[in-house]
Amino acid sequence: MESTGVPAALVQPKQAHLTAASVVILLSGAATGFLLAAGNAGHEPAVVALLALAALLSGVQGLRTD
Amino acid sequence: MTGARARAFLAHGAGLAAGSLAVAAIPFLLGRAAGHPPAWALGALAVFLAAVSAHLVRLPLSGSPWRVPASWGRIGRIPYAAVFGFTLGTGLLNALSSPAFFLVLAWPLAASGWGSVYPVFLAFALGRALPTGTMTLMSGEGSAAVVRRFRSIATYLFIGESVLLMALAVIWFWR
Repeated sequence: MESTGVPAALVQPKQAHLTAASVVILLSGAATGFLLAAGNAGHEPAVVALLALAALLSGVQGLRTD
Repeated sequence: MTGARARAFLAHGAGLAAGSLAVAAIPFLLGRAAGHPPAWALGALAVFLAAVSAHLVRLPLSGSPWRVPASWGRIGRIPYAAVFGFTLGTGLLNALSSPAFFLVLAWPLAASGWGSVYPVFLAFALGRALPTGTMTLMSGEGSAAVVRRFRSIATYLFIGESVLLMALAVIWFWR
């Protein structure tokens, strides 16, 4: 395989930052879910609202992949 | 925006909504016929998709290899605008927009009624209509700038999407 010329030591910290950022994002989501569920906002209308927001974001992201 | 462009955009929007709702009807009817999946199953799917969306799990979820030809960006005549809208609205006939779309597709299987399904799919159609609608309102170089702007914004939307998917997962596991 052809070398990219980038030392592995320079690539790995970036990967570690990306993984840490991903974990922070997922934990934020989990905390939001706990707050909503504990606040009794886990009923179907709330779920529909969250799903609609996710669907809206997904729809806009379609522009990236078209 | 001229009257013809406005009519073409309305046809495009109607096509988007029709395509989106047509796709929603399939899992909804399947859920009615075969029974609803348990909430934890949706939760497990949401956790997995959140990990993919947040780039923690690397999995290509590209969907159909078909791409919208560049020339389709011009909305054009009304029937064409409607068919173009329908194609984008299905979310399945071209590349997958994002991992969250799989959860959106699974939701009608579990939803208690159509009233909980159609708002989600209309939101997806609205999301698809936002860039094209803005482009229609502008013209020429302004339109190209709008596409570039939307593309750069769309690059960061995975953050909000991952948060929402995890929040939904926790709510479904909590039940």
